[in-house]
Amino acid sequence: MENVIITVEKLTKQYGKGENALLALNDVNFKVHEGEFVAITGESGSGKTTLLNCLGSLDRPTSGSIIVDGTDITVRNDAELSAYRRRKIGFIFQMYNLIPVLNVEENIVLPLNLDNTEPDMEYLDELLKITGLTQKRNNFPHELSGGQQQRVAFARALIHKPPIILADEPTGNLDSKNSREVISILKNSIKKYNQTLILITHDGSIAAQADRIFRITDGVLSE
Amino acid sequence: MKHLISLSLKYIRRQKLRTALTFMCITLSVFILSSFGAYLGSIVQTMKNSQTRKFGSYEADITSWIDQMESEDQDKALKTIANYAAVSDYCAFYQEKFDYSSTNNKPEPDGRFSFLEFSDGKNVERIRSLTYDSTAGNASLCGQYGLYNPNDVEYDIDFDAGDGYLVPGWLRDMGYSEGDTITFTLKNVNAAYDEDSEIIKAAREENMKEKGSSVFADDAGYADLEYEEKRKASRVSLATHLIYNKDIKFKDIPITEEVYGESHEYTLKIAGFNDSLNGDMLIRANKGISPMFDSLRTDSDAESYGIQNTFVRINENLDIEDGLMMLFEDLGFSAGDYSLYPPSLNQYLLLLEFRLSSGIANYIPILALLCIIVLLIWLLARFVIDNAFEISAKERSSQYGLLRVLGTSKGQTAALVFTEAVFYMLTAVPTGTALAYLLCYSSVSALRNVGFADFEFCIYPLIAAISTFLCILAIFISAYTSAMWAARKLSPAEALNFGKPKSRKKIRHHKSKLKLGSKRFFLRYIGKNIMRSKSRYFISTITMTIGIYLFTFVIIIGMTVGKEFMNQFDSEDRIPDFIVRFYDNICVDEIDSEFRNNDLFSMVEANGTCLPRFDQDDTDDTDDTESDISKFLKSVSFYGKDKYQDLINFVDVSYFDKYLAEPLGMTFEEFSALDGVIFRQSIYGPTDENGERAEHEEGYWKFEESDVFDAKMKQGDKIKIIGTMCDKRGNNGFIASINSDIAKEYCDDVWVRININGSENYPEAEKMYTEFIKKYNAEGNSENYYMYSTGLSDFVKAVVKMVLVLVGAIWAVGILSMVNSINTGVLNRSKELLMLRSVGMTKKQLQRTIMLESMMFSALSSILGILLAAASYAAFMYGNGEKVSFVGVGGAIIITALVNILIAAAAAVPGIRSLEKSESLIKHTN
Repeated sequence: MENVIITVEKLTKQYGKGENALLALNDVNFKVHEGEFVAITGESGSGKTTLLNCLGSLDRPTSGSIIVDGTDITVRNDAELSAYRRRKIGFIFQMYNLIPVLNVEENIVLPLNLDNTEPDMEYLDELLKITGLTQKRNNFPHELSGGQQQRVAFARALIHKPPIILADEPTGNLDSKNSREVISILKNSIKKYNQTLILITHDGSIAAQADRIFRITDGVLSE
Repeated sequence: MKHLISLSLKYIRRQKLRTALTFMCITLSVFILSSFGAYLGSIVQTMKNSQTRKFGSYEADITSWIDQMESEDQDKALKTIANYAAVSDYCAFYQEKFDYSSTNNKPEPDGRFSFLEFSDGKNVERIRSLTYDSTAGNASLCGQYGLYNPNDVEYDIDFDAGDGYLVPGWLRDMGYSEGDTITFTLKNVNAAYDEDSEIIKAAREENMKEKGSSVFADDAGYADLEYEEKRKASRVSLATHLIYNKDIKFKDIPITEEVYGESHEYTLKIAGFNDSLNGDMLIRANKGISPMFDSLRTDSDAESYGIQNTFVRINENLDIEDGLMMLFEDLGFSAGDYSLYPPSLNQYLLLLEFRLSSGIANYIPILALLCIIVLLIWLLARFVIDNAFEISAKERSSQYGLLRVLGTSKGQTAALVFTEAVFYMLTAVPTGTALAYLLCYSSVSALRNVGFADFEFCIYPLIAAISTFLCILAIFISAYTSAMWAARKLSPAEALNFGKPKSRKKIRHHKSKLKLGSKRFFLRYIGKNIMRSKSRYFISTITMTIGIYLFTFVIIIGMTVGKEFMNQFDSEDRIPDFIVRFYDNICVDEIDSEFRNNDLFSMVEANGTCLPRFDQDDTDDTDDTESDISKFLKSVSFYGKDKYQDLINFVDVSYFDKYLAEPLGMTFEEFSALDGVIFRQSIYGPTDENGERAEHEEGYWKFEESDVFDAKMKQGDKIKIIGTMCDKRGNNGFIASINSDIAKEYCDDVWVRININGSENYPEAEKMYTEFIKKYNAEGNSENYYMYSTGLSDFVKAVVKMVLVLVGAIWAVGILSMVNSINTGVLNRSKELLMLRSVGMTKKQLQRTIMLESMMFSALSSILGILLAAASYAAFMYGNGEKVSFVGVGGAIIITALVNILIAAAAAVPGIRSLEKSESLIKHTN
């Protein structure tokens, strides 16, 4: 855990203008090293998801900079950001967001297809095994339970071995057993591939497993 | 409930794009359906107008009833009819005729002829034809083609205002005025021509000189003449010849050996004068159906008859048959005799008035066809509306699910959908209906304004009500199916999770295709989405296909058959709008001053003819040498003198400028100033043994003065032949200017072809034409062909515009339906699409994916529509025995296909834009 992979400086995100302005992030500053597991906690509406979305370039900050692997992503254009998301980020949403017309395998290799990269079949098999989806590899999302769908989302986020994994309450819709399992998958992956994991959670037990815990309150980050 | 309605209205208000698309789809569907109703109403009214104009507006012809009665009973019957409650209107028309011209055309003429002698004690007049017309009731019940049409002659007076008779104008010349009472006698006279009179002698001598015979068709012995002699004799009677060719008044024809019949006296009051011709006596009155000159029949030589017609209209509150039966009995007949004297019904009009239940059986095939067309149009409209509602409902499925979770009942959920239906019923139905009637009104008025006076815009409440009802029915049926889906078929859990019920179909699992580059991945992803969406796009594909089919078919037909049809109206040989013909007074100067250079007219072309009857005998008068004309024609005519036309064509400046100015190399004024005629022959000579025709040089060869010669005519006159010319239109005859002195001398039959400069000028042009032919006595031989020429051309153009608008509307409905489906598809998949962005898809890739999907569906619709159109066109041409060729229309087909595909691609833009408008991608992913 030596190299700094993410540097956030004076990050601010404001929604709306004038009287209706809402400051979701207020002068946020932090650094994250490669291979770190960072948990972000905070109450609802505190700005956690906004921070994660800014890190994943799903949202543009109002001011400040986000330097990922030496590149300030806040000044990149759409094509560059798309490539950034394809190669550098693995995003896990709370609501799975799978493609209904693709089966499990195809959903998982989606980032590689978009990047014109052939999938590592061995690694795919491994992911399927780890996530317990080997028997379901040809099934479609609507044939799976919520837990299974979330595992597919996990696998999709890991297939291209991104250096950074961003997870927004990935266990929010899962029971405790599934939650433990998917967190275990994540931790093993980041350990194996030296990936950085930034995860939003309300679950104290998951937060406790992190290397660092950030707390956001009214857009202000504290560690 | 109030909150649910409010919720529904909020959705309508806030989802502007969705509401606009749905509103447009429904409005256009209503427009199409209502247009059918609007045009049907106007067509029915137009047919009624046409039927009424031609055949009258009567409902039943009860002439046969009146014919059974004695004369005095007929008057009583007429009074009964006039005051009968079941009769809303009537017309009784009586005509009595004494025709001596038919009588005098005897199979065995005897040199004598008959007539009526009129005398008022001071004046004497001879009558060849006596006609008495009398009407009672409303003369307009009789149409243009009805027998003895009382509307034929303009009345100078209003009969309703007073009493009296319209009498011949020559009585005015005798000193009578309106309001005078005249007593006169009529008696039959049979007489012979006074052969010792100068008039008769001159006529016979002239005929002898001209034709070689002094015999006329009514001379004794005419029937026994040999064929050759009969050819030389005049084919008209001497009296007719004197009246029409010599302008002699009938009463001035010298006669002798008169034999008189009984004198019959009549007294009548003069209410006005009509324009009876020389030798005719026409009397008109509104005295009902009593004869006036009955007594004359006993000893008149004339062919005579008296005939009445009685027409009625039955009160519209009564059944036709019931009303007629009542009248029949009240006129004194026995009910059992009704079948012996059935009234003749104006069936077509009664059917158009929806009054003929018994005749409907005859029209079942037409009614059946009409019903099929209405059903097809209604189904099309319903498909489109159904699609629009279904899309709207399914888009909001998660909302319905949530409401059900919160405790809304099934009925209340259905009510949400019905609220929307009511909204569109109150907005789209009136809008679509108003647009339809507006289009109908403007197009029917346009037709009326180009001279088709029968066309009339009319709203039939019944037809309007039916078409409105069908529109509302379509909306509510569509709303019902969507409402039932939302309320019953979709469980809350399904709605909240996936938005659609789980399919009962077995899911097939295929081997995954994993090793794909992004390009292949996109294509595969697009293909999978198309297969997934096929049910949603099914209806919009069908409606778009129908729209493209109709539109393309109309365009192809217009470009081929239509163009050929319209070219007829632009050709120089098309029927002119007016033809004016003169026989004696050629009125060329008057034609020039009234019509030529008048902006109302685009073409005025006058030409005349003369049969000069050149003396072509091989021997000249003075010696035995061949005649000059004969020698000339042998030397210049390609066919020799045997095939030239003994005809001089007199042409005007229009014709000259078009065809003669160039070959002759002179102006029309110079041509008019020529003192002679030019021999004009075709450049094409006779066909040789190889089947080829020689072609000669085009040009004009003026004779040297020494070569100019006089062509002697049989009548003794001479015409100078001053040169020869050769051109493509040459007819191997002679030409001269209609403005020349030669024309003034010899031209005796002039045709003038006139074209109006646009149908908007028709009313004024028609007035000018009518006044002109009346003024210059050309009424009998002139024709108004406007309805077959410019009028028809404008009529066809107006109809084409109407058809294009309607077909365009159907096409627009198809496009809108597709646009609606595409945008809904995009919006429904916004989460999925933006998730793709989150894993690295670029904006362009996203746009291309969506556009390609929409273009696939529209390409399918375009191809199907175009293939159908091409097949229909081929069938149409083949069915008409024409060669099927797509040359010239291929470009139009390709452009139509491309335009439709591009529109569909553009249709995805609003949906894409709304995705891109999001500040962040996360709005749709969470």
